[in-house]
Amino acid sequence: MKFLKAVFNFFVGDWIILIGVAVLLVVIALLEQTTHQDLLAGFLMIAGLIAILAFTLRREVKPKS
Amino acid sequence: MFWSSALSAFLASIVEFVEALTIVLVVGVTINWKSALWAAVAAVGTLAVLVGVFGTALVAFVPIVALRLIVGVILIMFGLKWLKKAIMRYSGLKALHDEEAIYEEEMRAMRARGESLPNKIDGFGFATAYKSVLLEGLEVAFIVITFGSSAATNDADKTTSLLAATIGALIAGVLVIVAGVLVRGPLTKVPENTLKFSVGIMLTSFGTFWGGEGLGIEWPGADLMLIALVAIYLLASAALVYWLKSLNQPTAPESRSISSRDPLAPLRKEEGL
Repeated sequence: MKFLKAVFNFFVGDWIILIGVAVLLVVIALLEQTTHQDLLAGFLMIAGLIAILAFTLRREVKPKS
Repeated sequence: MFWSSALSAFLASIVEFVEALTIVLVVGVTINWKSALWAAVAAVGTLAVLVGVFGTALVAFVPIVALRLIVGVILIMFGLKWLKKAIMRYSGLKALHDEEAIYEEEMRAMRARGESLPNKIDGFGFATAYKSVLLEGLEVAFIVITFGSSAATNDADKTTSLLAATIGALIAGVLVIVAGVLVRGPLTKVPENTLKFSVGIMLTSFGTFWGGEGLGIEWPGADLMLIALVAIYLLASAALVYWLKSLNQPTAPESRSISSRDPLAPLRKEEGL
């Protein structure tokens, strides 16, 4: 458990980023496999990453909201 | 893409080298140089073994498309982590990572431990320097392997690309070591937050690009899209800093904990000491 925690902290150290990126990549992969819309997938990827960053930063300001 | 792997590895590695060198200098000055330098040598030896084993396996057996996806995802997570910290510091939510403050705090803590041992390897000093160099060195090794492996367009280019990234990191290491030897003091002249912010932007941009390619996205403009990604993330980060400043509250938990209770908190938190 301590080792897993060290690995987690080394790579990301933030559950919101980890889960957010994982969910986003699954969505993009599904979108690419079904529609092959590169522009849409690319836009969603960039927008999603910025949204994840904004969300985790907001949690730092207002942790209980 | 070879220039980009060398430059990216250089920029990303220099931050890690600065952090590692700061701790080695502290141990050398306050305990003895024998402990600091042998710890650094031992950590570099450990790293060489790790990179020799896993680095070779990575180059020889991992398919480049799968590697781009894996590396892209990891770079995205690294990049978002660094960007988050840098944006928080810029917006006043977290104290700037001041190398001088870390240096002085560490010196004070080590003096408080008692006598120095000039001619023997001190366990605490050795462990502190070894752990720091190993941790930061692992990050450098990771940066070199990821940038070097992902910048290659085919399997045959991997070795050349890895070499370019290694050279970039080596130049960064030599520059930081030379600077440390010359000044023999805190490395306050390196604008660390600016470096971390820039590296965060680059890691996120490269991660988005390679991760997207790994998922099958064909970016418009191919490699030129990287420039657009950098611009997009720069603008977004600036907007986030502005937004956070407007939301900033004086009782933010992290700024409280770092500011007063424990002067070594930032060091322990970042270095795992």
